[in-house]
Parts: sequence; C-alpha cells; structure tokens
Amino acid sequence: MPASVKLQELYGDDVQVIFIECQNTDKNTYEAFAWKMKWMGNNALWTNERVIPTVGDGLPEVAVIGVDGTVLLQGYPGDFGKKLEETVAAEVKKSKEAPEGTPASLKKAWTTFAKGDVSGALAEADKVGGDEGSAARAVFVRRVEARLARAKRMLEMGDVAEAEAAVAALQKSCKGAADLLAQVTELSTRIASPELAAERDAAKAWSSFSSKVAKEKPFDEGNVKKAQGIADKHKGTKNGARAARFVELSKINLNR
Amino acid sequence: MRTSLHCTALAALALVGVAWLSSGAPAGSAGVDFTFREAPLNARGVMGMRDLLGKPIVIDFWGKN
Repeated sequence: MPASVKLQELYGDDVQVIFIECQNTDKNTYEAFAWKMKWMGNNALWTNERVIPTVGDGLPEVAVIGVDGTVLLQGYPGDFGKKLEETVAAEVKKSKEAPEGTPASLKKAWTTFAKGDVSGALAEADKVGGDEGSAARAVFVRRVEARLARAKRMLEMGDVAEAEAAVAALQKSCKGAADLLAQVTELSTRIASPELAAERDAAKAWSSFSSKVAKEKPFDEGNVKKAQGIADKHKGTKNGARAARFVELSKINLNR
Repeated sequence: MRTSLHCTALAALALVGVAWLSSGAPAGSAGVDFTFREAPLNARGVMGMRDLLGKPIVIDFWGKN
C-alpha cells in the first residue's frame, strides 16, 4: 500500500494508481482510513469496484496494466521485488514513445504526439497519408477528444483547477488544429464564466487545505475546524461539500 | 426437456461470460476495459479505463482490516 502511494507520488500524472478496497468496507470508512494513514493528497483513485478480478487468495495484491491495456503482472507484491517498479518505469518510458509495431514512417508523428504537440502530430500523420496516416490521425483525434471529455467531467465534478490546467495544455497542443481548437476554446470559455466563480474559489480553498493536511495529521482538531470553515464559507459548491464531508469523515470511529 | 436443459446451460454459460467481461479481464489478455458505476474518490474526471488510455496503471487491491 505505501509502496503504491509512493509510486503515485513519484510519477505524478505519468502513472495512475487505483486503490481497490476488497473487504466490503463502506466508502466513508475506507476514505477516513486513507486520510488517517496519510495516503491522500496525490492523484490516486479510490474505489471498491474491481477493475480486474483478483488472482490470489489474500490481500494485498497488486497488478500493473501496461500502456496497451494488457495486464503485465499481477499477484502478491512481495513476490515481485524490484520487478514491479521496473515494469512501471519501463511502461512510463513506453508511454512517451510510439506504440510497438508502429511503422517507421509514423514514428515521428507518435513521438510528436507524445510530447504534447497535437497539431504537429496531425501534420506528420497527414504527410505519411494513405491508410496508415489516416489511422494514426484518427487515433490522435480520438485521444484528444477523450481528454476533452475528461476535462468536461472534471468541471462537472468541481475540479475546476484541474479542468483549467487540462484545457490550457490542450489549447497549447492543438494550436493549428482548427476543429479541435474550437472545442477546446468552447470549454475554456465555460471555465472562465462568472457562474463558475464561486466553485473556482471553493476549489482553490479545498485544494490548498487538502494537499496541506494530507501529510500532516489530517483529522487534528485544528484541521477539522479549518475544514468546517471552508464548508461554511463555500456552502452550495461541490468543494464546500467536500470540506463538509471531510468533517464528517473525521468523526468516524476507525477502531471498530 | 433435453433442449430446454441445453438452453438453460447455454444461458448460464453466457451469464458467466458476461460477468467475467464486465469485471475486467485476467493477466495476459489485451485491452482491459472497465467503466465505474460510481465515480471513484479523487476521480478528476476519470470514469473508466478509456480515460487512462496510453498511461500505465497500478492497481492495489487492499483491505481496511
């Protein structure tokens, strides 16, 4: 568990760690537990839905899914030694390169895309042309549209700063790709709208508080009071609700 | 009667297949696909494996107890 937290914190957005609670503990209790253990404050996701089935008889169990969506290893973490970290490092490297089996003519398009230059990647794919070039272009467009869809969901979930950052990155990378840029600009305008001002303020307050207390003693009386203050000040926003939830989580008796 | 038993067995097998597919795929198989029924904590827009395409994923199965 702490090893996966460290992996998430080491690689940031290059890796996605998903913690799956497998003992039917209710969501509030396992979230409170994760806060108490100082495992929060990073990009890891927490769920009790099994993305893939477990293969062993007990816990903990770990799995690595590669950049092509294949399960590369799975089992008791202690059995893997350094192999786990090495596999993750190799996959992070792969994520910045052209996928295996990419024709030599399209490698430049893929490396350009991996560097975040979508317009450049599309131009390279168009230069190659034919079925291969068109297929690569279609993949790039699909991936950008998926990122846009995710940014929209971030906004719906109240993650305003994250949506803003994702859209800013897309705006930079899609310069010159008119169709995609139009969609990005539309979302950017929505983010900047006055209706989102209250949520933006609340997100700033919650994000600053939660990242600060995650590695301290999150549920200390002083921190809970601060969370209550954020909840009161930003009532009616999603981030205000997050602060209120934090206060409720702090009341859960984890020794039951 | 025999036909009906065959149908029941086939339906059961199909159900097992659907359950297996909807819960993901085992090691060695390509393209794990999964959509969360409920947004994970800290989802930041992620609602399924498709949102993480091209990114390495580490899954940590754990238990609070």
